Formats: sequence, C-alpha cells, structure tokens
Amino acid sequence: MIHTMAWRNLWRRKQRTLFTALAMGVGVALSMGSMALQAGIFSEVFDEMVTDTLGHVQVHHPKYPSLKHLHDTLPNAQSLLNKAESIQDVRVVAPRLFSVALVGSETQSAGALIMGVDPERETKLSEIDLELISGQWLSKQPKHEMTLGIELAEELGVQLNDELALVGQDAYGGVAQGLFKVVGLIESGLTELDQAGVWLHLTDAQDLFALDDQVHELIIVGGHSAQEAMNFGKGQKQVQAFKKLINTALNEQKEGSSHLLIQTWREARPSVSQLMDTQQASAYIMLIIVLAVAAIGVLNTMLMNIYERSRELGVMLALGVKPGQVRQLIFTESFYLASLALLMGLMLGGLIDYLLATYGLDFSVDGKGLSYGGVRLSPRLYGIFEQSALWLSVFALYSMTLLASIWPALKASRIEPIQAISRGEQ
Amino acid sequence: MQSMFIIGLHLTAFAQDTQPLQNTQAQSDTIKAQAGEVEALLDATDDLNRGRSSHSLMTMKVKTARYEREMKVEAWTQGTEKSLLKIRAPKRDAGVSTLKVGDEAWNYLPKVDRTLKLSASSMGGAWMGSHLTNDDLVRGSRMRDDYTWRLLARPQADGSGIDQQGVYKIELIPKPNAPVVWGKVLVVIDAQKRPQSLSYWNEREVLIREMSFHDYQKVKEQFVPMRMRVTPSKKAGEFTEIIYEQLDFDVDLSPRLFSLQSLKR
Repeated sequence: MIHTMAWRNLWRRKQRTLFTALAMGVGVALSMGSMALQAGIFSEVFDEMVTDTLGHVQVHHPKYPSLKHLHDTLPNAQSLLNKAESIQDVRVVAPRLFSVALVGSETQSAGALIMGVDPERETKLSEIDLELISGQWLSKQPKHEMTLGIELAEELGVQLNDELALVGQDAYGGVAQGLFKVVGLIESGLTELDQAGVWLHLTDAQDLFALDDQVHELIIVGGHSAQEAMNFGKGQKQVQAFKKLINTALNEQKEGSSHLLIQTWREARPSVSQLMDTQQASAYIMLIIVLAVAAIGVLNTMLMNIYERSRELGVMLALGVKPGQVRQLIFTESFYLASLALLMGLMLGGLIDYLLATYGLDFSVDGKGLSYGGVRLSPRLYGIFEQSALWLSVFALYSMTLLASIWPALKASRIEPIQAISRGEQ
Repeated sequence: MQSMFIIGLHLTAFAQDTQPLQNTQAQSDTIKAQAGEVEALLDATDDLNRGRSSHSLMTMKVKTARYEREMKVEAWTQGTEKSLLKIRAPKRDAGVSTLKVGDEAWNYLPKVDRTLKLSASSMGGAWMGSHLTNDDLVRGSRMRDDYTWRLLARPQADGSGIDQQGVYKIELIPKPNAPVVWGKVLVVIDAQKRPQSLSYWNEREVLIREMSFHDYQKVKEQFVPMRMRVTPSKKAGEFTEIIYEQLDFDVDLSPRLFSLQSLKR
C-alpha cells in the first residue's frame, strides 16, 4: 500500500523527480569514474613504486637508511643473496650498491648518483631496460660498462660508446677511479635519475668503491606471479608475514641485536605509504562531497513535495493515518527516488568506467606523464573498475538520501491537519 | 708527509717572523730577551727541515675504527713551496699523485688519466683516507701570516744544564682575518730543540687533533723525526702514522719535477 502510494507520488511531478534523480545519478557516476581513475593511478603508482622500486621487503645495514654511509654495507652479499633467493615465496631479489661520484667526459664533469646493480636481476625487478631510449642494458658480465640518465648524458655531451671517467671516494677514503663505456641512455621519467643516474654492473661498482662482496640494499619481491606480487604487497598482514619469513631466514641474532635491518616497503618509505593512504581517503571524501551536494537536491525536492502536498498529508492525518506511517511514506518515496538515481548512475557510471578502462585519460604534460610521489606515471592513465567502489557508491547514495529525508519526513508527520487543510483551501 | 711540511712551515714561520714584538703590546726588556730566545730557538729548529730539497719513501699507516691500511708513498720536496707525492702501493692506488706548488694542489688519477685541481671546497677533505686533510698540504705556506705566537713555557735552566723534563711551549693564535680553520695551535719543542708535538684546537677551544714526532735520527747533519703520528682527538683508537723508510736531503731535483707533466709520469 505504502509502496504503491510512494511510487505514484514520485511520478506526480515527473520532471522534477527525473531531474533530481539525474542529479544524484550524475553524482554517483562521477564518483564511480573518479574512483576508477583513482584505482588506476593507485595501481600504477603501486606497480612503479612498490613492485618495481621499493620491493615488498628491503634489507639494509641497520645504519644505512639513516646515515647513508658508503661503508654501512651488507657483508657477504653473494651468500646473503643466495639465501634470500632460496626462501619460499620470494620472486625477485635485487642487490644494489649506491654511491656518489664525479662523472666526466674529456671536457665536462658532473655529479652522479652511482647505482651498482645486478643487470639480470635488476631488469626482473624494475624492467629498467624498457626505459632505455638508445643503446642497450648492461651486459651480464662486468665489462666496465655504464648506462646513464639522458639529461646527464646531454649535459656531458656524450654519446653511446664514449668512455667516461668516474672519480669518487672509495670505502677506505682513497680514490675511486675508473673508466666506463657508455652502452645505454635511460629516460626513467624520474628527474633525479635522468639528471644524475649512472648504472654500473654490481661487480664493477664493488671494485670501484673497494666494497668486495658487499651491497647496500637487497630488494625482495614476493609472490609467484606479477599479479600475485602486486596483491602481495598491498595487504599489510601479508607483507608483514613475508617480512617475518625473510627475517627468520636471513637475520642471525647476535647478542640480542640483529645485524640486518629488514623492513616492509611501508616501513622503509612511510611517506609513500601515507601518500597512497591519503589519496585513497581523498577519493572517499570526494564521493561524500558529490553525494552531499546531490542530497541537498533530494532535500529540496522532498521539502517541495511536502509543501505542495501539505493539504493532502493533512487529510491523511485527519483520516487517522498515523504520523509514523506518513514518515514511512516519505522515506519510501526517497528510497524509490534513490533507486531511480542509482539506476541512472549505474548506467552512466558504467559507461564512464568502460570508457576510462578502455581509452583512458591523457594526463601528459609536454608529452610526459605526471610525477607522483617521486614516480613518473604513464602519460595515459586507465581506470580500474573495482567492486568495492560500486558497493561504496550504492551505500553512500542510499545513506545520503535517507539522511536527507529525515527532516522532510519529520516535517510531514508533524503537519497540523486543521491548519494544513484550511491553508490548502486558500 | 704533510706533517713534514707543516713542521717545516711552522718552524719557517717562527724563523722568518723577525719582528715578533710587533705582535705584542708591551715591549719590556724581558719580553725582548724572550723573543730573542724563541727566535734563536726557532731559527735552530727551523734548520731541522730546511734542507733545500728532499727525497723520501714513507709508509703511511691509517687506522680507523673500521679498518687499518698501509700505503707506500714516494715524495719529493723543494723548500716549502713545492712537493710531489706518488703512491706506490697498494696496487689499487698506485700512481695516484699529488702535486703542490705554492698555494695550489692537483691530484692525478692514473686509471682515468685525469688531473684534478683541488678546489677550495675539497680542502677540508681527507687526503687518501688518512687523518690529514688536503688543506694541510696547501694552507701550510700561509701560516706565518696567519698566527701570532706566545711563549708559554721553556726548559728551566738550573745552572748546570737544561732540565730533562722541560719543554718549550709556544701558543699560536690566528690573526683576526687569517683564513685558518684552527682557533689555537700549541707547539711543544723539547730541550734538545726537537719538536715533540703540535696540537690543534677549533674556534670553540675543543681539541681536534694532535701531531706528534718520534724516532729522531740524524740525516745529513740534521736530527729529524722518522715517525710522525696524527691522532684525531674525537675518535678513540684512530690515527695516521707516517714512517720514513728512506729520507735524503739536499738532493738534486729538476725544476721540471714539480710540473703537471711529471705529475702524470
């Protein structure tokens, strides 16, 4: 009975109902779209940052992350690496050595960030070989080769096959000096690396800086496939469990203090972790704002409804309809309105999601992707439909509508029949 | 090696400071007498390393909390203005050379065939991982302009001879606009007029490092320390020691030795 009445009431003012529903529907559609895009960005950042750069778990000398001293290394790197690789669930282990040095051509020199990497393992982790814009990636064997950031190469005026001198300080304070042949130029999209990055074979770098069989960092990625690796790192619990596993396998407890610092990516880079969480939260806030605006429309519509129908409602109350039933009627009307809005919103939102997922959005600036938290995103970003986002929209829509109907419903149930009927006669 | 220069330079500074009284306000007879004594003392000790030229082979031992290592260094000096150092061992560093002419210095790196001029900003850096700075190498030549001296103590003459325990203590304070990093330097010279140590304080009166001189031997009529040690005061157990394996004075050195060309050879 109430449902029939509510449904019919809704259609007494077709235009108004439709427009109100449409407004809410557009709100739902827009937030669906923005959440899909957000999910897309998140996934991209996650992929770039966590899976490719930070790894799920990092191993350092306890003092290295804070002090960055050249000599705070992981000793016996090769055996540590082998041990890490034999751990169940470990997909990639990439050793890295970092230092700074002057890189000089015949005429120019510039400061450089030196990264000693295992060419094969590094490509498994970060696919850095895909960022080569000319030349090739380092050979598997140490051959005194280097790849360097494109802007650094331009600054030095060097080309492929040129020989560059690296000069710095070795672990004993002596001079680190070596000649390296440029085999590849890298455009990573990260300013820091493009302007100063120099990649060397790990063994060459160890020789250069007198750090035999030592590295500064082991990056460990878990999971059996790329997709699994991605999910692996997102869950806090999973990544913590993974860390524990690695800790047990690698860290020898000596006199109560551990000789290795083993951290999850969230622990190692709380700023990135926070940035991602904040971004996620901001998507929800966006949804709430959009729907709150739409809810004000609902409020307005329902108030108008009640105002127009005050005589009718007065008669109903006079005939013995209980105030509770009137409230129920108003809530039911709102429910149908919201459902109508949802229908429109889902159709529109589905279309937006489909378009975003299929064609993506061009986010490029000067043909390059946006930089986000130190990560260069692809120029074109694609939306990702997530079921949770859908349910969130549905939930938010209904709860907002319900919230917006409380006042109209109360107002309707408190109508004074005599006043309302007499006013209606005017 | 640098400390060699430094003693030389310090002593030169005293010796050539022919009018030390200008530095002091009062000009009493006692001070005049004292100045004469210090001057004479410094003149004498100045001759210690005043060989017109030198050629040496030394072992530099560097001990830090993390490691201990040894280098063999061959060195040539001409007065206090010119010097050339070449690392002979270990193999890793062999051929790395440092040339100093006047206030300027260059490093030569054989593996990359590059000559690098030491810039102002690299002066504070350690020389080859030792506790000596590049600054020690270059700045030395300006010491005479940079400090005023004060005699704090001297061996007590008791009529029959010189007190065995007595030493000369000379305090050096930088002149107001002197471009030096130290706030105070204390020179200790024993009764035989052999330098014992140089202590360096920063501007906040905190002792930074000490250089000490040991194993005096006679080389070409001069007593010279065959072993020197630099001890940073803040790092317990760390030091750099220089031990002369061979040392010769007044050798014939071609002026071309102290050139960028010979640096590479």
